Amino acid sequence: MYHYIYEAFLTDPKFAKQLSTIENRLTDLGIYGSVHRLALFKTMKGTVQDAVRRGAKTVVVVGDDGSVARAIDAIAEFPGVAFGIIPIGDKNTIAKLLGIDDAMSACDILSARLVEELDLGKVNKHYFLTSLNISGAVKAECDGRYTVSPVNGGEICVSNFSFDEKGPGDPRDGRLETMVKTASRGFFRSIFAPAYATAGLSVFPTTRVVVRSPDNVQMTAVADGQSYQDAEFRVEVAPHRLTVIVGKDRMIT
Amino acid sequence: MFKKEDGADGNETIIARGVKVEGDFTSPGNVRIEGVVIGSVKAEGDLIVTDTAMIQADVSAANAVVAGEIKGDLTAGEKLELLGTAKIHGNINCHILTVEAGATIAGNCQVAQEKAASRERVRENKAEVGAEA
Repeated sequence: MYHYIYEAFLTDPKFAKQLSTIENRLTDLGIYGSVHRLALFKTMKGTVQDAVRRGAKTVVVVGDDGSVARAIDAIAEFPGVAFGIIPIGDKNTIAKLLGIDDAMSACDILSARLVEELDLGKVNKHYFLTSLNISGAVKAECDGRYTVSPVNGGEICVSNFSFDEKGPGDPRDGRLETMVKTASRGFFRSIFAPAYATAGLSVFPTTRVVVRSPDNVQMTAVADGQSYQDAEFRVEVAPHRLTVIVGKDRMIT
Repeated sequence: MFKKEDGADGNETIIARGVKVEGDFTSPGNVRIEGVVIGSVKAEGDLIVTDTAMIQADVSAANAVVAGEIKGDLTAGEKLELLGTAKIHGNINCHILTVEAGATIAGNCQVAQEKAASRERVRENKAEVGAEA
C-alpha cells in the first residue's frame, strides 16, 4: 500500500491542476493510495509514524527539498519502509540526485520501483542524505583517533552524498567524508575573492566525527537545508538506512 | 606513482595547506599532505608530501614522494623518492631510494633491497614459465 504525504504548501490553488494530473497518472499506473496532507499542527514526523502504524510499506513525499529532508529524517527510523519522491515546487535538488527530474516522470519511476539502499548521515538525533555544513567550528575529532583543524579559519563539512561529480561522497560506501575548506590567504585573494574562496580542500574518509565549539558556544549546522543549533555535533554514518525508489539517471556511480 | 593527483578519490585523503592534523592518522588508501601533521601517519597506499607540508610524526606508507619537511622516522614499504626540497630529520627505511640534489637527511638511512630483488626474481620466473608454456 502506497501512502502519499502532501506538503502543506500544496494547498495553494496554483498546484491544484498539477496534483490532479499526478493523481490521475498514479491511478492509471495502479499505485494510488492513501493521502496525508500536512498542515500547521500535522508534522512530517507524526504523519510518517501514523502511516507506518497503518501498515505503510511505501511512503511517498510530494513536495520540495525541505519536505524530502524532513521525510528522510522521519522515515530513517523505519528501515524496512521504502521511500519515494514526487518533486513539486522550486527546489528539488535531492530528487534530481536520485534521478527524478519532474513530477510526471516520478510517477513512472514509482511504478517501475527500482530500489537502492543508501547510507544516511546522523547528526545528533537527525538524519541527512547529502551533506552537513558546520559554521563556527574550529576542530573536528575523526574516528576518535585524530583531530583536524583549519589553521586560519575555514568551514567543516561532512558529506555522505555529494552534489559535485568531482567531489567524494558515495552514499553506499559505509562512510562519510569530512572536508575542511580553508579560507583564502594573500592580499589579492583577500580583496578580490569571495569570503570563503577556497585555498584548499582537505578530505578525510571517516565513519564518526565530533565537532565541538570552543567555549560551549552554540554553533549552526545545516544538513539537507535543515538548520540545527548546538554546542556539540556528533556525526556518524548509518549504513544502508534508507530504502529509496530511484530513477535510472540517478547520480550514484 | 599516483593515478589521480587532483580532486578527491573515494579512498584518498588530502590534508591541504592551512590544515592541521593532530593524533594517530591512518588511511586505507592514498594520502596527500600539504599542511601540518603532528602525531603519526600511516598510509596503506601511496603518500605524497608537498613542499608546503610540515610533519612532526613517524611516517609509513607503501610508496612515498617527499618534497616537504618530516621530523620523525620515515618508512616506505617499497619505493621512496626525496625531491630537492625535502628535509628529513629522522631515520629512513625503504627498499628503493631516489634522492634528488638538494634534499637533506639528518639520520640513519637503511635501504634493504631483499624484498624488491625477490619480487623481481618471482617476476622473472613467471616470465620464464610463460615462455616455456
